[in-house]
Amino acid sequence: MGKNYLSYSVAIILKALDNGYQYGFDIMDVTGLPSGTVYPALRRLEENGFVLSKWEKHTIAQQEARPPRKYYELTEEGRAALAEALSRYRLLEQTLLPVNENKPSRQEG
Amino acid sequence: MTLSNPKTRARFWVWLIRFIGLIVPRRLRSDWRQEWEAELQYREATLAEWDKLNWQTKLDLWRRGLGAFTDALLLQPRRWEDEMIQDLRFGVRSLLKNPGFTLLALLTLALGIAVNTTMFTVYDAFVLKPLPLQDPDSIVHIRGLNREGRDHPLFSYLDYLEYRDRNTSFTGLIARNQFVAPFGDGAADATSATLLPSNFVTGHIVSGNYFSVLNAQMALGRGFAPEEDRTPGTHAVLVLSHQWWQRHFHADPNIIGKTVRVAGSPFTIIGVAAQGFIGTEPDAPQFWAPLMMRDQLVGGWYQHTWLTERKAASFVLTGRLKPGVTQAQAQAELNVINEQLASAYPAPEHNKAAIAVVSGGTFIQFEGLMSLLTAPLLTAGGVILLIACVNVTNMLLARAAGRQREIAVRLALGASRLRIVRQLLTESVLLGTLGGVAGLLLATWAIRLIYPLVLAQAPLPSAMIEGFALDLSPDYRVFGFVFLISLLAGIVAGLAPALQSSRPNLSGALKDEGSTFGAQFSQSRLRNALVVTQVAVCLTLLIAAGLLTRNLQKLQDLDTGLVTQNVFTLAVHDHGAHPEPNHVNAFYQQLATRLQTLPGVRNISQAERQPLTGAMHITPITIQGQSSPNGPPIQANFNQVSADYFQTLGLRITRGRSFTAQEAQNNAPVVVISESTARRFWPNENPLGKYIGVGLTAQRTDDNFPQYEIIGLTNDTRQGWIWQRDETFLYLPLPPAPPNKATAGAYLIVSTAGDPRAVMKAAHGEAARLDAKLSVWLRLVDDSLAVQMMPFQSVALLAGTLGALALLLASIGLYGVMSFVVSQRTREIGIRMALGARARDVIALFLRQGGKLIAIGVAVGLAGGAAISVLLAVVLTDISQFDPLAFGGVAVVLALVALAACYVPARRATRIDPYVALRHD
Repeated sequence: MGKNYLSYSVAIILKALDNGYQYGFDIMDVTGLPSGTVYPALRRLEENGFVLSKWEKHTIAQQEARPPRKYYELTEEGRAALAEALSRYRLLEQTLLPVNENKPSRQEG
Repeated sequence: MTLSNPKTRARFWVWLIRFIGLIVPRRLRSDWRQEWEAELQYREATLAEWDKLNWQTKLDLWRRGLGAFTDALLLQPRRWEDEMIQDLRFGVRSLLKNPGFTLLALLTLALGIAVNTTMFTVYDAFVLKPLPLQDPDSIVHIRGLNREGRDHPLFSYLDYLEYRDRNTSFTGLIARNQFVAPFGDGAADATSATLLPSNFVTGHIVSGNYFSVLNAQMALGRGFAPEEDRTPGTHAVLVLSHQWWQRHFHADPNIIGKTVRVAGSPFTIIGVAAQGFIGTEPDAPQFWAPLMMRDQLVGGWYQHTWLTERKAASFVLTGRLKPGVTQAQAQAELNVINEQLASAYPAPEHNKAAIAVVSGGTFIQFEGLMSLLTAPLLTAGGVILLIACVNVTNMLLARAAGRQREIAVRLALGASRLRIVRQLLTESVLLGTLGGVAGLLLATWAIRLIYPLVLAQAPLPSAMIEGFALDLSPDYRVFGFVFLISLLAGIVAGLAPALQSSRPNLSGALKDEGSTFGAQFSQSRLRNALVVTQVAVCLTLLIAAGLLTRNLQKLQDLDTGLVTQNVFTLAVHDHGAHPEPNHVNAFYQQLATRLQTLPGVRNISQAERQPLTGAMHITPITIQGQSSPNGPPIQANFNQVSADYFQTLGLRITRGRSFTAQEAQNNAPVVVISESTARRFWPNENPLGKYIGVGLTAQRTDDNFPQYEIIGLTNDTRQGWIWQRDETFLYLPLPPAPPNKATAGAYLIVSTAGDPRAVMKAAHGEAARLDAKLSVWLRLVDDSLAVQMMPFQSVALLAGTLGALALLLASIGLYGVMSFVVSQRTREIGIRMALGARARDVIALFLRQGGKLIAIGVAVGLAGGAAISVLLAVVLTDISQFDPLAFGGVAVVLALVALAACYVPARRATRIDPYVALRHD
């Protein structure tokens, strides 16, 4: 997947990650895309090196008695691809809100 | 609010994700499940924390959870990649573990695939491969059709000009035709056993735009200039083909401007075509000459009149479509022009009913007749591949029996049946693919070996054979074809064993009872059915081959009714060397007189047609009291012959007499007829003295045919095609030619005492001394006979080769099965021998078992043979389609070979040491 072939929905996922949303469900919330689109897109982005995934620290998960979550972040390449996509999808810049305390998202690594 | 009881709340999501996760590749499964569960649980917990967990949000969670299914589906390709590589690795290992089995299976598949690949390569070269021209797709041929919709391919020069100048569909329209002519000054080898003397070459006369329309480049010199396309007979120039320039002129770089003689006239070489340019036909010409030199090169029909007569149909038309113009558009336009021409110059017998524009981008268009010819070959090829596949199926079945324990262990450890089937299929497809590679190599090698041999068989001068430019190197179509049939072969061969061996009786197989008595019997039924199929199919093919061979044999011993040994014919072609038409007649008279004096000449006669060179001329006849004026005319074969014709060719006068030289000279109305003619028209009467009205060239409308008195009867003959008895034959006196007309196609027929070759050489010399400008063609009548035999020979040879291959494959298969059965029953044989069975008994046991299968196979095969012989009946000449020798002989041979294939492993069984055998597990 070359940089020039980023579709709008993939670009919006990259933008969401750039704005600080790290979990699949948060990305769904903020983009409005269905889970059947977001997850496969994340996997493809990871395969292409635009996105990195990491597992949440066990200690945090254990505290809350739930399995650790997987979170995603942009790589340098992903950032470049996003910049390129933003030049094509002008409206994207204003679409998404940055992470906000009231949203159901966390920043622990 | 804290998470009071996350476990109970999470249960539903866990269940959903676990369920969907079943289809996620195992390697990724736990991570995948964890990610989804964590997300869903966390979300649910968060919602609960915010007291927002209502039906709406729950439904939303449901929806999102179902999205996991799409996610899982999109991960499927990774599963196949992973497991396929695993399967392949395992397959390679297990094939290497059994090198004997692998080699035999590979060889079998390679043979089957090679046969089909060879046939496809030839098909590809003729029908699919684009011509080596720039933009071959825009090249089309223009065909005329007559009222019955049959081909009426030639166009007159005047019509060509109309089509060329009036159309708007073509960037250019070419007129061309092929001819053969003697090349150079040297005398031909008169005794070579080819259809044409050895110094004959193929040329094309082409309109001046030929090279530019086809976008041909020149290696040396130039193509034809416009003025060379204008005035007839003035520009004796030619362009050599690259191949001919290299072969005959040793790639002489200073060839341009040199003069060569073609058909007795000097021609200046003005160009050499670029390497690889061969025109539009597979039998590429040695050179091209301008259309305007037609009279000097071709002569014959429409000499001098082809430029002015609209009926002088002499050329085929080829064009290049303008970009964007379709064949249908071009065809519509040409048909309009055709209709305009037909109304401007009405001549019903010459006008064309319609024009068809057909694609000329490949050598041949695949049409009805061709598919009829190729269908039996394709069937035979498919049958051989089927036999090969069945062989491999059998081998795999045998091997699967040996692997039952391994498979049972894997099933017991939780492998799914699908997984096992896929593993086994991967192995057989791997075998098929490797077999395909080997088959492709084998086919390429075979083509390289056989193609020159086939060409050498053609009775043509070497220059023409060298010009044959069929490109038989494999291209992407051949690769694709091989890939497909290899894949197919792998699947066909492997499917049944894979399905069968993946459902073994687990407890039995694990305890290893498979090798003793019980388990193999259920599988042996399929194996036996396969052996029977193989024998039957093989026998069917062999019967076809047997019938064709017997047919050939019959043809070779066939009595044509003529004595053809030591007889040759002599024909003269003047290629426009002499303008006065009667010159050739005078020449024949003088030459005949001279030949009489040559030593070894027994008899000389003259005839309008020479024997055994294809269909004889026919004429409408009337017989008093037998033909109704309104009914269809009775047709009869005839030849006009001199009085000595009967003696020259050993025809026996069975009643009455033949005509005298005097009668021939006076054009007397007498006729000699064949006995079958007499039987047909006067079954119980004496035909001598009766009269026949012979129309010759007259139209049916005038019923006053000249009456000929029957003066003699001759024995029956086959004078046209060897496979066709002449139902009627009339011998009319050859009249002396009128002084202003050439007798077209007249032949001298000379019989000699002893070897005719010396006489032929001398005759050639005499002819050259009489008139060096005329070219003389000499031909042994036996050679004409051999030429007619050729297609039968090649078909019989081809069928024989395919049949032998099938036999080889079927015996390999039978041998494999019997070896396996023997190895499975080692223990039983040991017990038998320990109890006192002799070697003979053991062999008999296996021969009985094999014999039963062979007998059933032979019975089915005979039925199949009977079915196929109905199809072959068309080409069988004189033998019954149920020829007992073909059916019986072939069945016996097959049965013997098959029994031998059983005997070898059975004999091995008798060498078993009972002590060893009883310990065998």
